[in-house]
Amino acid sequence: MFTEKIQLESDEVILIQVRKHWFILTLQFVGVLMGAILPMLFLYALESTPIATVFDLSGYGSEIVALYTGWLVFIWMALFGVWTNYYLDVWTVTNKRLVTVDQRGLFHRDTGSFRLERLQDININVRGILATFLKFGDLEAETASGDKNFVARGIPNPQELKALILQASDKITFRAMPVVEDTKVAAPQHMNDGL
Amino acid sequence: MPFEITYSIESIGTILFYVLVLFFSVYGIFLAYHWFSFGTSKNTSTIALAVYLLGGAILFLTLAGSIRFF
Repeated sequence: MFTEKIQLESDEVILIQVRKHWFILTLQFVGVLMGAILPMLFLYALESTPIATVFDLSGYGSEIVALYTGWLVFIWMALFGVWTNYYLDVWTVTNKRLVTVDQRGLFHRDTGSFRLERLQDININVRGILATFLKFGDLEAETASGDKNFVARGIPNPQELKALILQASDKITFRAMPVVEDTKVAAPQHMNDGL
Repeated sequence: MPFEITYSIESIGTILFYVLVLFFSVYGIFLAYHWFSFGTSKNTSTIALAVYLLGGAILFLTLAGSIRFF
């Protein structure tokens, strides 16, 4: 499974796994299901035109059912293709790193990861009325190297995810910093002047 | 005439039915491989596979029934 593939370190724990918002999945499902009603619309249109007098389909009931069911098999497969993209397209935040999987097709998969201490900035884009009310948007994580930005599109509650990633990143960053007992002594002289 | 091939609509339907079953099965194997290799939950992957096969079985039964009445 996925957790074995990303090989968690001994003290590494998964904080959250995020997929696209349900609304995005629903939109894609509706798009595919529209394909299911297309043959019915076609038949209805055919019946209401003069062509219906040339092609009398009244005696081909079982053939039409067979063709339509065959079409529905493809629709059924397409639905699972859409769901597979949704299911495998996942952002995993651990207490040490961020692992992103962008499933673009059945045999097209982009995987990336970066350690949280390399996190530079996180930007959030929430565009449109639906995205605002349903609370989903894009989250872009910039790394220190700057060569590649990690973008998650249409994820639910991007603000909360941002807060969680920053919190985990801060924990790592502050753990790595030397502990300074007395800030007055440790800070440069000009900063201590007013104290 | 050395030989004669006759096609009935029923035999064409039957051949297409088996081709579709093969296509559906191969696609199902690809999907299941992805779910169980890269999925995050074994339970979810198992349920998805069960739903895929169950829905497919219903559709293929309907298809087989309609081909029989050609």
